[in-house]
Amino acid sequence: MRSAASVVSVRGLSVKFARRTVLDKLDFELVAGSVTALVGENGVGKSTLLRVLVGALAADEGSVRVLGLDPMRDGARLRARVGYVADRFEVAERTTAREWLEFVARFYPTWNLAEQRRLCELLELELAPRVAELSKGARAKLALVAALAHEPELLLLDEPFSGLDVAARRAVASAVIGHLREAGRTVLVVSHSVADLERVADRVALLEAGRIERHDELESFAAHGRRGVDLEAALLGAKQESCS
Amino acid sequence: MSSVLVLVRQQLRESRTSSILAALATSAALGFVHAWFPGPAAVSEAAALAIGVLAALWTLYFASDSFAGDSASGRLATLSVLPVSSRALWASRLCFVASTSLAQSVWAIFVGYACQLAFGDARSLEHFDTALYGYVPWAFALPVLAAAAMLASLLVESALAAMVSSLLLLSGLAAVLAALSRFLAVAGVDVRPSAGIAATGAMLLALMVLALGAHSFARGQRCLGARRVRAFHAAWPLGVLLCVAGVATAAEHRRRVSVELESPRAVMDSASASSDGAYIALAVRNLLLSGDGSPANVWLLDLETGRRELLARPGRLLDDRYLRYSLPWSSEKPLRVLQNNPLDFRELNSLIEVTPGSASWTVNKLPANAGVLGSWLATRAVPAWASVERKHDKRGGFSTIVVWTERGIERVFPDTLALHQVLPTSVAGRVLWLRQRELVHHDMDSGAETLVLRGEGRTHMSPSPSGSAVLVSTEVAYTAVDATTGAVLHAPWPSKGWRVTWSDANDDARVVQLRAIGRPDVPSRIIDLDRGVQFEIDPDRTQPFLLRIAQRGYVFVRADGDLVLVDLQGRLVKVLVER
Repeated sequence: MRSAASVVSVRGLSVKFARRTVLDKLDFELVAGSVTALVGENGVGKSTLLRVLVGALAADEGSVRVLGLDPMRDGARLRARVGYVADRFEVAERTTAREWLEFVARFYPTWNLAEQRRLCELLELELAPRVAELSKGARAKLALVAALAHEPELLLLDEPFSGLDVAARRAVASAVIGHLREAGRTVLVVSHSVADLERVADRVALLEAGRIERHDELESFAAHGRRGVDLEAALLGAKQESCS
Repeated sequence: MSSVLVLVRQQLRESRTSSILAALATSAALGFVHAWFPGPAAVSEAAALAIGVLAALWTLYFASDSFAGDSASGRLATLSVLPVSSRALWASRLCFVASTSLAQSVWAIFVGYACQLAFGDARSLEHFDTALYGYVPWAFALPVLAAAAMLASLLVESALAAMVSSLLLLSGLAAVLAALSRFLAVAGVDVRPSAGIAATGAMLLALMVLALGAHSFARGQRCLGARRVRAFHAAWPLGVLLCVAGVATAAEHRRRVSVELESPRAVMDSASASSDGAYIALAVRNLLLSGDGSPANVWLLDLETGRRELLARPGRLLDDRYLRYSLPWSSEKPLRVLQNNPLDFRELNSLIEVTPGSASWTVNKLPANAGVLGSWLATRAVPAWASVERKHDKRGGFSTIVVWTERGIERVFPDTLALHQVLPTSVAGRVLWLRQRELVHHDMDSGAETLVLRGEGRTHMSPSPSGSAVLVSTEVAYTAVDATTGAVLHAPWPSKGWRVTWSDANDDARVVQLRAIGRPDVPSRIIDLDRGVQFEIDPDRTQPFLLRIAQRGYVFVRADGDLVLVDLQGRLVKVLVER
């Protein structure tokens, strides 16, 4: 049963691609106001889980509720309240960054132009160039602005640090996600950048063999000394345990 | 603004370069046509064809690119995580394809007319209008083409592959329908539709394929855009619906082709009487399928006993090869009927000969044979001394060649319609022909010409069924003239407000029918020019055939729909078919 404070509630979720089971009877909850890092090996199903949560992918089994809505039945209404940065962001190359944001803004009743300007300034994103002229990092920033400017209740980030330089990573990790945490928003972030995750996350969920093997406070993962090293060690340790 | 409109606007903005290039290519292609083709008819025909081809090409291209390119590049995945439903995404692509195809087609037509105004003249413009209008029925094919291309665009990831796939898909559909129709033919079910049914069927097919695409797209989007899922969801309903639609169409078609004589839907088009006046053959069409090329049911009717026999369904009475009148039939010259393939009306199944007897008739069915059919083409308006040939000339028109067979003299009348402008008379070597606005007698021996009648304005000549007289119509009057002597047979009738035509007949009688134009309450007047008898009848205006049967009277469809026989003075003899 879903607790009153949970924003995401997943029960017995299974997703199969052909004969391969990616998610296997997965149970998962996301507490309101938390910033949760979803970690695991490549191909373990992290992006798949995020796609299921935004209604871009149908589950084979199980029930999924996000912000009290069924992502499959109420996908469009749900996505209006969720910010989602996918692992792949492609738009027409002749479109400028400004045109893209203007286009996206029309779908969100809560779009905040001031917030858009603030994010662009913070991330040092220029809106005049065409998307074809943007670097990989600038594209990632554009995707972030598009996902955040409508002030979502839930933010789902799939590799948001990919392609960003050090300064931008810090800006995203501290200023953007940190700002959301302070505002009481819920964030689920997938990344292989453990150091960045440590900087922002307060909970960690470890996805292994199609299930959440561990979902705990960050401190429980980090048993020793400096947090960055400890989390990495903890993740490696969890992997060795599951192999044995 | 709704999300669909926002998506359509974005799509239009993203494709503006290709839209402009397509419009430029259209202009260049039509300009090339005008530069390349000589003559007003040729250039107009080619331009109209080019517009049709370009409209189909751009429809195919934009529909093929509706999903394929975006799917391959990942742009579709980006759009699908916006707060829009997959149905809104599908609908926006559909609107984009429809609006772009329509815009390109309208542009092509606009450029076509602009080229006519710039480089053409009144004659070429008229040709262009006619040629373009001829392609209008094919407009129904565009939605089918677009629907198939959009469906194919879901399954492959390049526009070119989608174009090829959609054409293969449509070919496959045509093959399946052909096979289905053949299969059902074995079971005795007719499935080949008329043009009207084909247009409706095309629209339904387009809607069905689009609905299928929407369903398959929505399902595929939920499975990470899986093409396998889309293909599966596109394939199985298509198969099921094809079978169901095939059976339903077959049943409906069979119902529509068949028409009984008493049916209120029966339209009696034409008739042919035996020389002795004992029997008539009737060509009857279904009101719902009436029109050129639609199938008829051919019935035989005994005027004395009322006995009837269905001769061909569908079929066609073989009439005069040059004129629209029937050929009387006897034991020496049997009635000739063509029996068409019920699955394809253009195909000939068999040739039927009917010989009248004293108490009944004899039917002889022959296999379809082009040689036999060629020998069956006959006319009774050409006398025995002459033979008439129609020949294409280099300018695209017709010439008439009259040969005096006994003397071996040949005379070519350029730019004329056989018998409608050049008519051999009963006197050997004398030809009546319409030389521009003058009706003249031409002597084939000496080449001398004698004026018979001078016309005014547009002048036309219409021979009687036996060719012994002609009706000359001008903007002022109709005049009946004896073909041989040139004598006027009756005082002229005014053209304004009246239409005068020959009555069909199974003898040499010269009878005209006068009908008031636009005044259905005014009865038609029948005038026997040889006997001076005239009377009024009240025929059905939608079934205007009138057949004189020698010594018996006239057969026609009365205003109340009954097929009746009246005597030579117009008195009712009997109702042949009561409806």
